[in-house]
Amino acid sequence: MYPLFYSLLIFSLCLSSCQSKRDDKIIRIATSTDISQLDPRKARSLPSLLVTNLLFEGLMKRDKEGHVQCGLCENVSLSEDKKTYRFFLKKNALWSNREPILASDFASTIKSILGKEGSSPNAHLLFIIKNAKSYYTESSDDLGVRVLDSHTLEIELEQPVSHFLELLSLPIFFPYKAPHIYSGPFCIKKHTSDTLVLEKNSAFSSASKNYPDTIIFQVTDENSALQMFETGEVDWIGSPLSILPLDAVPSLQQEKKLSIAPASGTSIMRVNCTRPYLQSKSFRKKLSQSIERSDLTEHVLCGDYTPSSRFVPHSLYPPPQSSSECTCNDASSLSLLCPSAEIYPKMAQVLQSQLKKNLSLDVHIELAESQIFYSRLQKGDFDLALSSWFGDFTSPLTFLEVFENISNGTNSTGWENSEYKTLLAKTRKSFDTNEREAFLHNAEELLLENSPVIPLYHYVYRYVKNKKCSHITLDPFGYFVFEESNANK
Amino acid sequence: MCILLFTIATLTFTFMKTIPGDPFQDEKNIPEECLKQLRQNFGLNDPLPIQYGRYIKNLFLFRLGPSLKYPSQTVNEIIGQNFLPSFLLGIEALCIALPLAFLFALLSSFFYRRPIDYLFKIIALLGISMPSFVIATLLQYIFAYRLSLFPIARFDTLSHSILPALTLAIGPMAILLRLIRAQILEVLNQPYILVAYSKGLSEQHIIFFHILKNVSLPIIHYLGPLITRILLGSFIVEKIFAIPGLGQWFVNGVLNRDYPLIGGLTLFYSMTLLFVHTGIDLLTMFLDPRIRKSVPA
Repeated sequence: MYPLFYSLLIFSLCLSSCQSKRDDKIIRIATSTDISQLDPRKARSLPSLLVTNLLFEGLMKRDKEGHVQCGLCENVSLSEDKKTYRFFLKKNALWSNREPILASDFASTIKSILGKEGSSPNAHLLFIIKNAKSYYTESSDDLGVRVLDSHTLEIELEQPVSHFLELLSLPIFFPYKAPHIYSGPFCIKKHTSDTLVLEKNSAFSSASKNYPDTIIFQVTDENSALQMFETGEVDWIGSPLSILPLDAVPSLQQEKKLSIAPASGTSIMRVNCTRPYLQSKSFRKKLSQSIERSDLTEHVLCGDYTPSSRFVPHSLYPPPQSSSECTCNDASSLSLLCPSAEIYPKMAQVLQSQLKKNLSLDVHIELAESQIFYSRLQKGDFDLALSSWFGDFTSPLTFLEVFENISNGTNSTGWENSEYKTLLAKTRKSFDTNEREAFLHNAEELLLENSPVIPLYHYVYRYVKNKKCSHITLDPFGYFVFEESNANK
Repeated sequence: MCILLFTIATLTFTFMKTIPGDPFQDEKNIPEECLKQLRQNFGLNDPLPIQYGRYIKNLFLFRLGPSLKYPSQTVNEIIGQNFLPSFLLGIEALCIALPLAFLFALLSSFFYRRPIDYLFKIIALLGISMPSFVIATLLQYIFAYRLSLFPIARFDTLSHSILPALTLAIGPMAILLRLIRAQILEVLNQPYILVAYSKGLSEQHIIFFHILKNVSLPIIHYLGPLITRILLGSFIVEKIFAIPGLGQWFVNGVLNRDYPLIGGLTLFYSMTLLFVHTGIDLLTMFLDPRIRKSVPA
C-alpha cells in the first residue's frame, strides 16, 4: 500500500511541466510546417525565404515598406548602356566565422547555382545575367560576372533590366560559402524536424539592438498553437508561417488581439482561354463582373481582406468600369478546379452559388490534392481554377509578367497578347519612373480588359502577437521587420 | 521474408510511378531546362528499368538516398531522427493500454451483467467509436488548456508525453477490452477453472496461472499489427500535439511525391511489421506447449 502511494507521489511530481523562466529576448513563433530548405540558392516557399532572409544578406536588402536599399554593398554604379552594374562591397562585412565577405564569394555562388550539380529550382532567375543560360545548359565560358578586386563585383546583364536592384534582394542572389556559415543577423543554433532555433550572429556588421537574442520556430498544429499562445508558451501565431483557425478569428477581432498587415498577394481565378466557350473576351469579363467579391471576404474570410477586381495589390488606379452587355453564346456549365486544402473549397462553393444566381451558370467543383492540382494547371486541364499569386518584389511587374507568355509555366491560361508583351518589355528597359508607371498601368488595363485571370481579393497578413513582439511587424512580402523596441528606447 | 520484402518494394515502386503529380511542381514557375536538370540530378530521367534496379539495390543496401523535398537530409537520417519519439510514445501507449485493458476486462467478466460490466462496455464502445482527433482535442482542451495539468503540445519532458500517449492508448485499449473480456468469459466456463476453484486455489492464483495464460494467446496475435501501428507513429496525434515523430513523414512523403522517402519508409514499416510478427510467432511457440510439441524437431 505505502510503496504504491509513494510511487504515485513521485510519478505525479515528475508530471509537473518544466516551465523555464521566460526571457524577453527569446521570441517563440508557431509554424505550420518544418522549415527545412535553408540554402538561399534553393529556397522557394515563403517560410524558407523568410528564414533565409534572417540567416543571410545580399547586395541589396529591403526596408519595412519593401523598397530596396544597400545591404552588403555600400555603393552601386551603372554603365551608360544600363547593362553593367558595379558593386563596391562593405569592407567590414564578415561571415559568421569572422572571415571577410568578398566579391569572389558572390561569383562562386552564382557559378555553383548555374553549374551542372547545382540542383537549384530557381536557377532560371539568374538567366538575366549575360551568358548565364548558355553557362547552365552548355557549360560555356564568359559568364557576365567578374571579380575586379576583393571588394568590387561587376555583373553584366543580357539586356537592361530596370528592376535588377530589386531582384538582388531575393535569396537566389545571396552569397553562400558553406553549411553553417552565415552572413545575416542570425545563425542556426539548433535544427530538428520540429524546432528551429536562431541566435544572434555576433559577426554581423549591421548588428542592431532591435534584434532579439534568440528566435525559436516551433512546428505546431493551428488549434494547439492558439491554445499555446493563450498560456504564454508561444509569442506569435498566424501569418506568415502558420494559419489562424478561421473559427477563432471573429472572437480575436472582437477582443482586438488581431494584427493586420497588407500583403503583396492576390487571390485569383484563372480562366482557360483555349476552351471553346471561354475564348470570348466579353464572356470572361461577364464572369468577372458577376462575382460578388465582398461576399467572399465578409462571410468566408471574416473580413480584413480587400475585395478587388484589380490584379496588382495596392494599385493607385480605380477598378475598371462595367462594360456593355455580352452578345456571345454563353456556356451553360463550367468546371471549377481548386486545391482541397485551406479555404479554397468554401470559396468554391460561394462562387458556385453566385455564378448560378447571377448568370444561371452551372459550376461543377473539382477538388484536387495539391500536386494533382498543379499538374492539371500546367496541362491546362480545367475551365476555371482558383489559386493565388504573391509578388517577389515591389514593382507590379512581378504580377504582370505571370501572363506574359503562353510558355510561362505559371500562365496556364493559354492567353498571350503581343501589345501586352511589348509593354512589359518596354517597362524592363525604361529607367524613367513615370514612363514605367504608365507602361505598367496600360499593361494591367489590357490584362483586365481581356480577363484571362479574374482577381478576387487582395491578401493581408493576419496574426496575433504578445507584448514581447510589439516592435516586430511584417513587410508586404511577409518578412519580419524589427523596429526599435520600447526596452531599447 | 526476403521474397515478401521484394514484392512489397516492387509494388511500392509501381504505385509511386503510377500516381499523378511531379515532386518538383508547385505554383512558382520552373522552366523546362531547369526541371530537366533537377530530374537528371536525382536520376528521374533514366529509363524505368534502370530506376527500378537502382531503387532495389539501394533498398537492399539500406542506402535510402537524399529526400527530394529535403535534399540536405538522407532518408536514413530522417528515420533515425524521427523514429525515437514515435517509438517512445508507442511504448508509453502500450504500457497504458495493455494493463488497463486486462484490468477492466477482468472486472467486467467477474461482475458479469452487473452495473460495472455495463460501464466498461460503454467505455469500450466510446473508445472504439471516437476518432483519435476528437479524443486528442478533448484531452488537450480539458486537461491542458482548462485545468493546466499538462502542457498543451510538444515533446520536451515526460509530462508532455502523457496526453498524446493516452490518446494513442484509448482506441487499442477499448478493442483489447472487448477481446479480452470475451476470451475470459469463454475461459471461465471451462471445466479446469471449476476444478481450480474446487481445489481451493486463491483468486489471484486462478487469475494469473489459469485465466490470463489461456486468454493471452489469441490476444498476442492481435498485438502484432497493433504494436507496429502504434510504434511507427500516428499522423493525427503527432500533428495535434506537435510530436516530432515518423507518422507525419509517411503522409507528407506521399503528398510531396518524395519517391526515396516513400520507398524508404515503406521498407522500414514492412521490416518492422515482419520482425514483430516473427517475434509474436516465436513467443506463441514459447508460451503454448501444444504448438511446441507439434513443431518437428
